[in-house]
Amino acid sequence: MRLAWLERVFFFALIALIAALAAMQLVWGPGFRRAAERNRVRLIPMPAVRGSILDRNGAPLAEDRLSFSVAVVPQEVRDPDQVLEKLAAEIGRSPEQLKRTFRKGVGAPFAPVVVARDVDRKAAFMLEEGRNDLPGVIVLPAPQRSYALGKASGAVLGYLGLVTSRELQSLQSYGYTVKDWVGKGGIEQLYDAALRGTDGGVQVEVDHRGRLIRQLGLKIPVRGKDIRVTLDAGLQQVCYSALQGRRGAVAVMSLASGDLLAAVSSPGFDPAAFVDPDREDEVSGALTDENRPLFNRVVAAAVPPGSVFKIVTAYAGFVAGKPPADVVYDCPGFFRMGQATFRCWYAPGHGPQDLIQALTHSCNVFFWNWGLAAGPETIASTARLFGYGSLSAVDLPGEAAGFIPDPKWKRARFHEAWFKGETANLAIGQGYLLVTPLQVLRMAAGVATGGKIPQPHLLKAIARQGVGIPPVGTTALNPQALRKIRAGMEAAIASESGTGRLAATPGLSIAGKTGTAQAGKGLSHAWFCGYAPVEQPAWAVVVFVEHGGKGGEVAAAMAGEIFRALRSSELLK
Amino acid sequence: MTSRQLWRGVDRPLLWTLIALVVIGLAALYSASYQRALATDTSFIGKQVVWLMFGLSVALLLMTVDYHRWLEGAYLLYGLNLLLLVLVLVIGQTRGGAQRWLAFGPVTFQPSELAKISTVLVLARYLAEHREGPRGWRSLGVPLLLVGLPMALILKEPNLGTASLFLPMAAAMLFVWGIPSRIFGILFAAFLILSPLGWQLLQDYQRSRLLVFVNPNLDPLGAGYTVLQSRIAVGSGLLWGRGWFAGTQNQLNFLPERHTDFIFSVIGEETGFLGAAGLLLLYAFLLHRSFRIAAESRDPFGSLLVTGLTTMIGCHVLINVAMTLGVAPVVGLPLPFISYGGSWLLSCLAAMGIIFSVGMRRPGFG
Repeated sequence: MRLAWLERVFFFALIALIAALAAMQLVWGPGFRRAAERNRVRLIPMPAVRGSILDRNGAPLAEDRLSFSVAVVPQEVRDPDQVLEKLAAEIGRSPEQLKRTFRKGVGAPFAPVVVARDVDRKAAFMLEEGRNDLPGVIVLPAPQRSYALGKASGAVLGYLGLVTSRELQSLQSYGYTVKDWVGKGGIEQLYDAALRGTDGGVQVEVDHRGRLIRQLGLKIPVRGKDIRVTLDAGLQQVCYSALQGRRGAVAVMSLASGDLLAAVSSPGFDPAAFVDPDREDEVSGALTDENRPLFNRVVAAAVPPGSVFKIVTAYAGFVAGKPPADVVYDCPGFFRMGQATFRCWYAPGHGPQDLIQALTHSCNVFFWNWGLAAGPETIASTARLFGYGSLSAVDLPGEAAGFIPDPKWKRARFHEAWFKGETANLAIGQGYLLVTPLQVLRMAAGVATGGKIPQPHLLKAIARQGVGIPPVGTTALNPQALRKIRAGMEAAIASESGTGRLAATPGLSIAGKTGTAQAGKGLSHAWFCGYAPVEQPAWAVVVFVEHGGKGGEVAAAMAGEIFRALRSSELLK
Repeated sequence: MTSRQLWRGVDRPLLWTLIALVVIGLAALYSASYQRALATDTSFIGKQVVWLMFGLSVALLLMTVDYHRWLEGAYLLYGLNLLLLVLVLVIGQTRGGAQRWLAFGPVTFQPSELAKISTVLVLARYLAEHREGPRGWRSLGVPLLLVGLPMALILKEPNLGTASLFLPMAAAMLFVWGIPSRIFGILFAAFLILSPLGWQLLQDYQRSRLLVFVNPNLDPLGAGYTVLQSRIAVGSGLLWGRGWFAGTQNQLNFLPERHTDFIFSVIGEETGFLGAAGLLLLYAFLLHRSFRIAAESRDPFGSLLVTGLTTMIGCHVLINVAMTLGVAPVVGLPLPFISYGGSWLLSCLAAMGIIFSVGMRRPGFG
């Protein structure tokens, strides 16, 4: 019967359709459901305001300030060029640039395109009030991070950048996502978890044309916590200016607490450039500059210390009892060892020198004799005692440990015996020895406090909650040795013939030691370390100028500026 | 036969199925046009109910009168319908690039929908009258002419979907009439071979629809948009559906044409697999009961008539559902009893009226 066949055809076709229906709804259904959700739900992000970084007195070093962006909604503008030209005149920007930004930014017709950032407040209010003149132009408030000290605090505060995929791997479990801005370098990086708030957002339902139908959910953004650091904004600026843009570092530490009052790496960079799309050139400049402004020299520069290391050599020999403490060596301006002749930095020679005089004049001949008598192992272990060769655990990322050579290391590394000449080099802070400015600062602090070396740190409070002072690392130091060293360091500043006399500051008694470290080609590294006031030491200071010349000329003069600022500052009281 | 006996012969299960489909149709249309009603204050429901009442009256009239009377008037009706189709091409309203509608005051009407029924009538009459003669190639001449005339006029509108529907309708009737399998097979093969040539005759928009059918992602915001959104709607219904009035694809306007050709997507989205498959089973049952009436009809007239009309309804269901699922090209065929559209609902109800009419007059019934 042909009718039955006809019916069967329809029957099987309907079964096939039901099978297709089952495949679509039951097998692939969840995928289609997701597609439907993507169709209708949009998330409008509401970024959280990042916490401020405040100096020790509460002055802002980094803060999200309210800025105004001007955006254009494409679907509400009939003639974009004309509107943008009018807009450009109102906010004082170039119309060509606005047009270019607009064309680049157009995506969905309903999504506002930001054409100008950080518009003048007055112009923004004018636009907001007279909205009818320019339909489709809207003013959006946008938090813009600004850095009060600019270049002076770049290295220590760090900057913000988009999270990289490598960083994301470790940060993902803490709620970070792609396109998040995170701190890179300095305080911004180290305390990012506290500084970053919790982003919020509005989830909205839209129709097929992207028009808002209703709000589905709201998560209010939570502002990040403020971080108060130990820096003094004024002193930080003085220290940065003192370096005059040369490569180098300055750090000032309070001896009572280990508070870093200033931590400057030069040349600096302005972290604000990293969050401003209009300053991309400046960012790529900072990244490719051969002076490496992003490199925090306070903790990351591992360089030969030169004569500032003589403090270690002096202590090592004194404590070892080799040579006798009251020995006097004559300096004829040179030193013979076997076939070789080493020259003292002062060619005419210092004449007969005892330990205090040798420190005052930084006499190389004296310390060659003294160091050879003490021996390399003693010098190396003393250096470790003062904290060289190990991290200070300061709260700054990128710290280098430096390096202390000794005969054991040399045998293991080069399968060679340690030469006497290498002891001579070590005694005056040359050779394989590498230190960071912060380590030199710690040494100066150790001398000033008699071994109660405070823990250098930057964090003072999180969200007004003080974190206290980290425990002091007590090292038992020989008081007689320190007395001699202090006397030498005081004379180095106060004496007419002292190497650090340029650091002398009327009204403030200072102890210090200069250093001039030969390092490859070019000028020597210039060093100064010291503390003040002598009677009751309150601060330790280190100045390091990479290939800066002589420590006694360059670094000591800069230290003088810093001490003058310290003397007149509130910090003394 | 008294009229009381006659009415007792109404196929009850078929009647309940029809009522269920109409009710489902109104419910789906209510949901599909809800947003539009909110926005424009005009509801499709009112208009559809008016057409429903009109359609039911027509169906009742068709049931009361013996279908032989209609077969007698078949040529007249057919002629009038052809005239209307010509009239459409001359003074018809144009919507979306196609001239398909005749306007009578506020009421618009598609003669092509009615042409399906009048062609079935005239073909049934011709074939029934010529059942004694030889069934060779020559006997196909007149039936093909009868089908070809309205088809050509509808193609001219252009309305490819409706026009192409005449082919399975005529094929089913010829098949049941008893055309030799050999000739049927040759015709079918010829159709398959020649259909690529038809590509040349298609309009650009029709070609793009076919291309998009092969790959909807070809033009996701243009021609492929409807199919993609329809698939998303149906698929997202899962087993139970998102609930009446709760389909986001429907209520947020992502689905175009959802009250007419794509109303099955709304049903799939809001009632899920259970609802959509249930609806298809309902159609299967409707076809089954109708084919039974065709088989039990007391004469070849009734049998051929019901075969043609049932095939028309069945093909609409298959093609419409297949295109909403994205397994057939979008040809713009509505879903019987459910899609919005007066002429279409009227045609469906009239067809059912005739089927009931034949069923009531079966031997052994009533």
